Amino acid sequence: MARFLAIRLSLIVLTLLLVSVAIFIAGEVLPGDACTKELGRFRTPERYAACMAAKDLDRSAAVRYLDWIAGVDPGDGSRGVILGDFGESFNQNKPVTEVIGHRFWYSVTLAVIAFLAAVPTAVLVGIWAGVRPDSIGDRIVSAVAMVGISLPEFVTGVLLILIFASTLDLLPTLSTIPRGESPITKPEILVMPILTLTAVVFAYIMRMTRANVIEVMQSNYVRTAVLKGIPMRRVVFRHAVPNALLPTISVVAQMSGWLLAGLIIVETVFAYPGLGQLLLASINNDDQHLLQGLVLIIAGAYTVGNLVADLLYAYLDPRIRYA
Amino acid sequence: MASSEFTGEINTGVVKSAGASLSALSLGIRNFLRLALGTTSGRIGLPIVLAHAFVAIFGPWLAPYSPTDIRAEHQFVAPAFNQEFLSVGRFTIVAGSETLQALDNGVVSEELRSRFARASSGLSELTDAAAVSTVQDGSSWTITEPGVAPYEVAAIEGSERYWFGTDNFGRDVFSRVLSGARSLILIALCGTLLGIFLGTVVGMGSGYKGGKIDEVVMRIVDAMMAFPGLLLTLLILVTLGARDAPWGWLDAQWEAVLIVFTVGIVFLPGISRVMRSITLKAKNQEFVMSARLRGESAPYIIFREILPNAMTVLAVELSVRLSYAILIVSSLGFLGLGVQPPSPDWGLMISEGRGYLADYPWLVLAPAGAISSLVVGVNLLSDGIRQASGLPRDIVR
Repeated sequence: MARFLAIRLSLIVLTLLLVSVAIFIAGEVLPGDACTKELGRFRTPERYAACMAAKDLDRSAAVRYLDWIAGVDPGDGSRGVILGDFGESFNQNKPVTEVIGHRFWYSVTLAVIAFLAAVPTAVLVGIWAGVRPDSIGDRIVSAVAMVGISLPEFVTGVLLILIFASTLDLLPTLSTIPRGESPITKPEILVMPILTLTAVVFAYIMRMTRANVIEVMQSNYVRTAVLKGIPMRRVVFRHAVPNALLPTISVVAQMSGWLLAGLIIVETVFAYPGLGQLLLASINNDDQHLLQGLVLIIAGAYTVGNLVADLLYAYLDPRIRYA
Repeated sequence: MASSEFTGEINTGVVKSAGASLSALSLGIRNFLRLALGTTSGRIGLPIVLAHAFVAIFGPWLAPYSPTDIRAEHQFVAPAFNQEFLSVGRFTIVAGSETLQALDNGVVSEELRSRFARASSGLSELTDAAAVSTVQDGSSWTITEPGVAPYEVAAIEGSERYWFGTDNFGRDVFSRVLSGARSLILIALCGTLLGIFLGTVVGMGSGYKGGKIDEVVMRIVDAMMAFPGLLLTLLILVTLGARDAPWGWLDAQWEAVLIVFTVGIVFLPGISRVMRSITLKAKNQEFVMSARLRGESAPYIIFREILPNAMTVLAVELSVRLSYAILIVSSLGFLGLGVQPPSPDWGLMISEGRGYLADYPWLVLAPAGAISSLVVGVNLLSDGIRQASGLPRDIVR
């Protein structure tokens, strides 16, 4: 197990290094550099050079990359991404960590609640539908899930606004958070974003669980258990479900990435001040350090989520550990 | 090469006659229909997809109005099968058939009053004492009010069929929905095909070569998979978007081409993994061994010997990825990073219509229905194909 963990961890480090190189290169080719944009028509060669020096853009890309990652240049006081310093945001002239700050927790709040709401219900409904395939209940649930995976988040979100805000007037249209408040103090703004995020995740995990339960219920060992006269409830939850849930775990990990991406859309639809909105803003403003920091954080969270799923999988399925 | 005829039906087409390729095509279509129509979901999904394909091809000709024609006076007309318009002074108002009836009878009804008030706000509103005085040959009416000079309601200006209503610029939403299908479906389809091509070449090549190359390629693929789909899309789009079109004639289509490339690259890692595992499985089987012993080249073995075994998997990948590509492309439109206004893009239409949701929901409902039905159709079809071909599991995006 330790060996497995060591290999996986080193792979993650390697992956994140590759990711950091990739997003650094992506940042290098952003249209128009930050200084051209900032100075606009006040641009003179001297001002431009000063601005480039102030933003450390006058050094070679390789040096800047190393400085950004590991803080090799002691002069500018940056400690490097490795020590949690993502540099300064070009547009807001504040450290990236400060810009991201509470927005990170806003997004995490949204994602975690959506995840906790979606996964258990999806698994339960999937099991329920899977033990009675092609019944009326199963067909209804499957049809709902099909619609769930088909609707893009922005369609779901806008439809929810139409129903709950415009027509029924139950919830606020926008999920903005006033200064000094947090999503926890205004739970009503979280309802629609969470429902939107939940729709896709629920549908995916439910379909997966259902398919696996159907497959396992047809296996010989389940049939043996049924023929032995074990009560159905026990057959399902003791014999079938543990095996049927194995593939679901890896899907759950992939869904965590889907949630992170879904945040970009959902936060735009509801004007929720989280990482997704910040990411779009950093793209639109050519804010290189901010974009790099955000992408690295999101990729890191996603990779670690996948690792957790793999570990869980290996823990539950010894065949993988020893393979 | 001569010996390749002996390896079975896969290789019969080394020197293909026109007739042979035609029969191969009809066989392919028949196989596809067998897969597509073999299950209930396929039987529901295929007609939906075909309907969308029809609209994508003929939509711009079917559209009753130009999708980008601005008519300020026809702003926010509600959906209806037939709308009559009257001009009141220099304003045009929407008139239902009751309005015309009322005018003919010389009655100023409550509805008429409110419509006139809306059209002529800033001018005089109709007072209770207003009356329709004269009916002139059924084409124009004069309204008299105490204290105001009588004014004329001119003939019916025209009757229009705004089935899905009009938007904030007075553009016909129905025409915009019809015209928007083509670019979305074309971009999504091209992107998916490009992704399948790139993924197949990279995955099969890497899997077949093995060793160091395979190791390096797979690490890069891992790194790409470390991004959730939409995030990777945004990054690639931003990176590619910095460049101008390499050729002038491409300028007009450059945004679309960029999105196609982006979708292709986003799909590369997933598809290449699938193709690599198929290649690894096939690599050590007898038919590949014998081809290698015959001295066939690597590309020949990959594409003529191994690839035909992956066709079913590719068909499923294509249909699943296509629905994902549609989601990506329309999401980009919604975020304002795709096709630019005033193009009739469904995602963009929803984004623009959001602000009017409370009062004029049809601006959003029409394109939302269009996207949803398209993705539901493609998903049903791909579900059907997967079930019929016996491939068990969902391929997660």
